[in-house]
Amino acid sequence: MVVAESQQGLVAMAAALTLAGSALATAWAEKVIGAASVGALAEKPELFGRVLPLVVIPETIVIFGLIIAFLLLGQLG
Amino acid sequence: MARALIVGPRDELEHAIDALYGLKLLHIVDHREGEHGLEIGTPLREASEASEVLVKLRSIASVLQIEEPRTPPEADVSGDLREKILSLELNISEEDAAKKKIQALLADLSRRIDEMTPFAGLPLALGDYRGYETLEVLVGKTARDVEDLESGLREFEAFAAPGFLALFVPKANAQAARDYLAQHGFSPVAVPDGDGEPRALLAELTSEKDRWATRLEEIETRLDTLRERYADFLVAAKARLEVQVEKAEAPLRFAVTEHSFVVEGWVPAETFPRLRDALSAFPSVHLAELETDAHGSDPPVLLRNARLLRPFEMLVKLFSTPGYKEIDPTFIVAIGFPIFFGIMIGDAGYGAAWLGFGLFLLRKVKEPGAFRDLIIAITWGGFFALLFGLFFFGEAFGVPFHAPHAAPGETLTRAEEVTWSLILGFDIPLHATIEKLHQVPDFIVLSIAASYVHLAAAYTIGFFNEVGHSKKHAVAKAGWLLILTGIFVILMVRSSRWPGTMGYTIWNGGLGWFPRASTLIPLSSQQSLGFFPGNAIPDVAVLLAVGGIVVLLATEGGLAIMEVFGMIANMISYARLAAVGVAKAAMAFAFNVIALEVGIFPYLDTGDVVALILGAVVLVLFHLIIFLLGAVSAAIQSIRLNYVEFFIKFFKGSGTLFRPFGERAKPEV
Repeated sequence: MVVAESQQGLVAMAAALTLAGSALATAWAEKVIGAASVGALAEKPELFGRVLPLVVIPETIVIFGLIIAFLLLGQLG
Repeated sequence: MARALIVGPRDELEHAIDALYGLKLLHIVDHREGEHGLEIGTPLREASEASEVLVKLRSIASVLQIEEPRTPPEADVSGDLREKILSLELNISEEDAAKKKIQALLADLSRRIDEMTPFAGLPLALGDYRGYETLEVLVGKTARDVEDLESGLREFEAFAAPGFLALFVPKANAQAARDYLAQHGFSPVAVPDGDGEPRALLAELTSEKDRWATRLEEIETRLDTLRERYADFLVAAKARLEVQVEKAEAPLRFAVTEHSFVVEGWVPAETFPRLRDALSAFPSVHLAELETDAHGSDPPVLLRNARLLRPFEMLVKLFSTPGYKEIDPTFIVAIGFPIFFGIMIGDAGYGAAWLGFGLFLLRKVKEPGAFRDLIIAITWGGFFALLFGLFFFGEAFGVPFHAPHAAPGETLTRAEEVTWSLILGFDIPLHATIEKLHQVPDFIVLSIAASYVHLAAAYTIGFFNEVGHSKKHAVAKAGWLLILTGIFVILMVRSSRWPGTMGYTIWNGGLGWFPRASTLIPLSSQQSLGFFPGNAIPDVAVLLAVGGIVVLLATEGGLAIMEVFGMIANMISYARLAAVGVAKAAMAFAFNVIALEVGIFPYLDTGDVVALILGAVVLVLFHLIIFLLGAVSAAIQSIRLNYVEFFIKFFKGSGTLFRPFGERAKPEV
């Protein structure tokens, strides 16, 4: 399915919004987790290995956004 | 691991401790007070004295700021340490007290000098600022010179220096004057106590400060001399005392009766005979191997990997020490981490730079430890980045080996056209399989393929971990593997639509053997999902996925089905390989274009050498940013893929590390 030329801008905007929204979501989630993790690390530095994966877990959200953005851009043909 | 039990008479306790300490074979299991009706032992006689001297020694070392090298220096520490250290402490604590006193004095003097300095600029004695009945004195700093005092105030006398103002006003007008000055950025300052000329007082204070500073320097020189003289001795003495204390306090970990002692611990099974031989020197000490209960006991873990893989143990331990019955995942991490790092960097230039930089750092950092292990891991990452950059992505420092296929109708600028073949003047025989900036979907497909390999390894290890433990859970892992395979095949089929794409290559190359018959799902409904005849969902893949789900239902229950979506999310999560790779390549490309268009090409034509050098410096700085930023994000994302997507599938961890009695504790991560 290739989108009509007049509609292509909308598809591009949709891709941009997808990425922006998921990036914001990631940032917000990491902010909350990051602050809590630093608090935990201040008390128990040896938790670093456990905390690092928790902090980067939300990174996946923006990756989903990226994939969807590319699927949308694929519609441009 | 074998469980050892050592029993002997108390007269032999000291010898037995010495022998065990020297062997470094036994991981002692601490005896708990009252267990089996046995008390814990009491420390040997010298324990309290040795730990007291050790405390003194540590305080001396901290006063002298002695940094401890990893290898204790050779120094004569025989004889009575106590006497030497006590006299040294007396000497040093005096100096240290004097030093602290002078430092406090100097701080006080500096504060007073700071207070006095502005007053030295005004022609008044300190006594002139106070003692009036009808006048109020406003002294303070002014942010800018208040010039038009006349216009704002009546009846006043002012003395001003740059940034400083003393104002004498009648008490009745004081509030008005204060308000007026406040509007002009005036902040009041207290007049220092005392009488006399500020200038003379300031000179006095300054000379006093200088005097004390000289004294301080003298003391510090003396402390430096002491440090140089005693550093080696102190470090060596500390090492000796620590050993002494550890040995002397060892009985606290043993069980004792009135006349005998009992030590329990773990020994690596193959070194058990060595322990037996060593202890046979003491005829009255008996060693027995205890039977271990497969479920109840919790032996310590001794990680054993090939030398090449050992640095990566650090990454595993940072997460958690593997349990005794688990497979140590180090070998997969050792392959996965550098390869993922390499894919994300994927640039011959940065790869070679990290390889070189890592090798350089390894020559500098000789001490074994977490930092060195990390450098080794990154160096391997650099090596793989170089390989991927050369043979797969065909680019170095963001510049491709060959001109990319431009989109129709697109015109390239001069900087965008730069390629290594053009720069070097010959055709580089290595061609890019994936041009990062132009074939992002291909890169994502490659990432999904990487996810399959990695996750399949995770489920396989999980299967073997569970098989001796619970057949049901092991079968569930196999079910997961089936689902993973089915979904992976379907994803590859979907992405293999056009020849020349990564999906096409994988589906018709690596997966060429996979049975392609498609009868289960009607073609019409497949087509709405983007599949088409000749490229339809293979029956076998559907059967694998459905079969896996049935296995899951039978073993882990219905709730586990929800986790299937989690697994698909995990697969997509590997797209970060592509995301970081493309983002880094795009940054490098943008920086190249900016630097070349603005800083290099215009001057290449005019021949302005200075400007050219400047442009080159900017270019190098740009690349330095990507070099560091790229590696930081690649390393973190690579660790994350191992920790989150990989480990969570099978790794339980929380084992205790094998730490034999006698091995000096090394600082861990």
